Amino acid sequence: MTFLAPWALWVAGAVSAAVIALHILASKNPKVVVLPTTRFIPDVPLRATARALRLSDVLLLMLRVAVVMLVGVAVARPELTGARRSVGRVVLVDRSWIVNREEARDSAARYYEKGDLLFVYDSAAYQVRGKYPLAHVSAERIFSPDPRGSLSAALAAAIRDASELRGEADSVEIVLISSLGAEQFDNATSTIRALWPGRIRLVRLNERRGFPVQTYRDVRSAPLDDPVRAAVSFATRLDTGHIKTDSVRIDRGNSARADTTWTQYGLTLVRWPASLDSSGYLARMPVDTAGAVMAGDEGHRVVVVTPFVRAVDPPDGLVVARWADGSPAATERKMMHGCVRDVAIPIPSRGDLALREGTRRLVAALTRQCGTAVPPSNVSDSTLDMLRGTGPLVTTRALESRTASPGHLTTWLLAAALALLLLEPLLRRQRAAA
Amino acid sequence: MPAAGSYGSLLDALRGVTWPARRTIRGPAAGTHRSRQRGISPEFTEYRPYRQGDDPRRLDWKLLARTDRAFLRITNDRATLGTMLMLDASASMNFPLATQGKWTQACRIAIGLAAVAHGAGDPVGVCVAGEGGITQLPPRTRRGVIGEAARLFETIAPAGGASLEPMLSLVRPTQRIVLISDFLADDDALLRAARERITAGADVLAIHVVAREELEPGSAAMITRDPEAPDVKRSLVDETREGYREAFGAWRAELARGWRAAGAAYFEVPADEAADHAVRRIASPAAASAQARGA
Repeated sequence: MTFLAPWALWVAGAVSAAVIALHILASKNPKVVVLPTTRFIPDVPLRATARALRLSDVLLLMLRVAVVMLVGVAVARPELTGARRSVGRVVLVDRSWIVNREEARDSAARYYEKGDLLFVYDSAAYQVRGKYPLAHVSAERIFSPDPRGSLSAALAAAIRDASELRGEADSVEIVLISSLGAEQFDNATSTIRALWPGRIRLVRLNERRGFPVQTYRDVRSAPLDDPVRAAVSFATRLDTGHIKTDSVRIDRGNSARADTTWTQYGLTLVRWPASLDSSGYLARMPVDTAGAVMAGDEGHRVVVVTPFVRAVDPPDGLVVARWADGSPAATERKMMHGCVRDVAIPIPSRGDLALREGTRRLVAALTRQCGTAVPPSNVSDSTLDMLRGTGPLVTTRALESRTASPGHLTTWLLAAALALLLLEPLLRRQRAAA
Repeated sequence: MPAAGSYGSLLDALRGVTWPARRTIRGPAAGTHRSRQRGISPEFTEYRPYRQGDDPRRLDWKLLARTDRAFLRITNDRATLGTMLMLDASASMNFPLATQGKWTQACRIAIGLAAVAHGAGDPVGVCVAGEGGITQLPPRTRRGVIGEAARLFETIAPAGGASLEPMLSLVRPTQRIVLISDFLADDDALLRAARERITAGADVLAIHVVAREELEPGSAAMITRDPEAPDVKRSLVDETREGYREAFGAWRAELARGWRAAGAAYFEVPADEAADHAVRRIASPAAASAQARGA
């Protein structure tokens, strides 16, 4: 048995001592004795207590001490523990898009043992439960299209739930399996890291090779002479030689009828209606013309200058392309494990716009796998040192204040204390009758 | 209180003990105490020239024959001394409650002194002042008076607030009066009455019975109550213990001085002192003469 709040035992002991002292003091009221020579005693105010140490009402005292100790033990949160490990681990696995998945799985399998806590995180952290959590990590779908993992979210979840190991191990170690890119750090990371008093084991994963990754683009609902299909064919040819591991489906039909189940496998669906009039997008009033459209990120900017007729607006989401006046031309939003990108850029089938280099780059940018826009960047060694920390492992005893619900033993102890409290009036009545 | 039969060992221990009067007495009957009267006893004292009217039977004829002068042979007489034992049976004598040590000691001393006096042929009486008033056995010389006194003590339980002072008026002035008490009640009135008796020729002995628990009340803190004045309650704690000892000691010293100054003999007898030892101490001629010198 172990106690999560042993200080409560000390408090209970102190209270019991006080109860015993009170019983002694109560019994120190001296009885009145006959002394014929009383008149020779100096007349001072009568004192109510004496120094004779004698316990009174031993049964009542034992009952009260038992009540106090039961409450103390209950508050101390006892837990029946079996064989304990010396170290329990909270394994945080980065599941953002950019990590090398095989390496992440291997690292997780290396550090995770039965009884440990396993978290996967991207922009949020989720605990992987179940009988075989590593099997879940091995699943492809566990990996997120979200390019950016949030260390703050991961650390917060780990610190919050690490106390679940209090019955399993003496010490707790956080193992962070991540690419540790600079984009995973935010302003709260250092503050949240400071909440964990021990050191953190860092396992740095390599980024996915061939970034930006090669993509297989599948154009649906489009005739063979569709300008986007033509542009895509150019874009795909540029990626020749890479292994096509990710697929992007480009649906040129009505956006409302696009098959979004594609995204449940972590893939990208690009809804780029060929006819914007029947696209299902919100019509733009009045219809106007934009002189250019821009897509891509810093360093990979793509600009196509041509008069575009803006008849519709894309739905709300992360803007991935803008018209020359700044209004969104294409947006992106997560859906299930993948993402859906809505493009409201008309590509005329006539003319050579689809064959231009700028258009090819625009199509390549807009039909990229979700989350490939920002390449990871390294962080400084000092930042990694801050994250790693220098302290020892955290003892589970130090996590007591973070524990949550009391166990069944506590409930039973409190019930026993309550039952004894109910007995006390009976004892007092018996004593008074005696 | 002790049963009448329990005095056997005490009486055995006191066999042969004498209790002389502290002064010459004027007694009517022949006894063991020195009398103020000159008589015809064989104990020669002095010669005195014959004067007309003297009894010619007291002439020393052999001296007259040798010297042709007439002298009377003067001798000391011996007389009996009535002894009245007065016991205090107030509530304060019923202490300690468990053993009634003071009352028991008072009874044993009274029986012992009565036996000693009775053995010398003195008439012995007992007078007890208790809650129910005064109980008296008049002085007698007959056999069985000791047993009567013992049976009387059996019937009495110390209680209430009794005073010895009224008893002093019941006895003849020339008797020996033994006051056995703790003197915690009416000590001044009693002393005044005793002084009058002493002036009238009585031989007064004040026997002060003190319980060991009164001398050394123990180290435990307690609230005490006067058995004769229930409203008087005091705390006997470490802070007051020394003051108690001093006050009680000063009172006892003053009590002894007052009795001795009045011409009485004063003896302090702890309740746990062997009764025969106490009786020997009280009846001792040395003690009597010392007390007389002190007086």
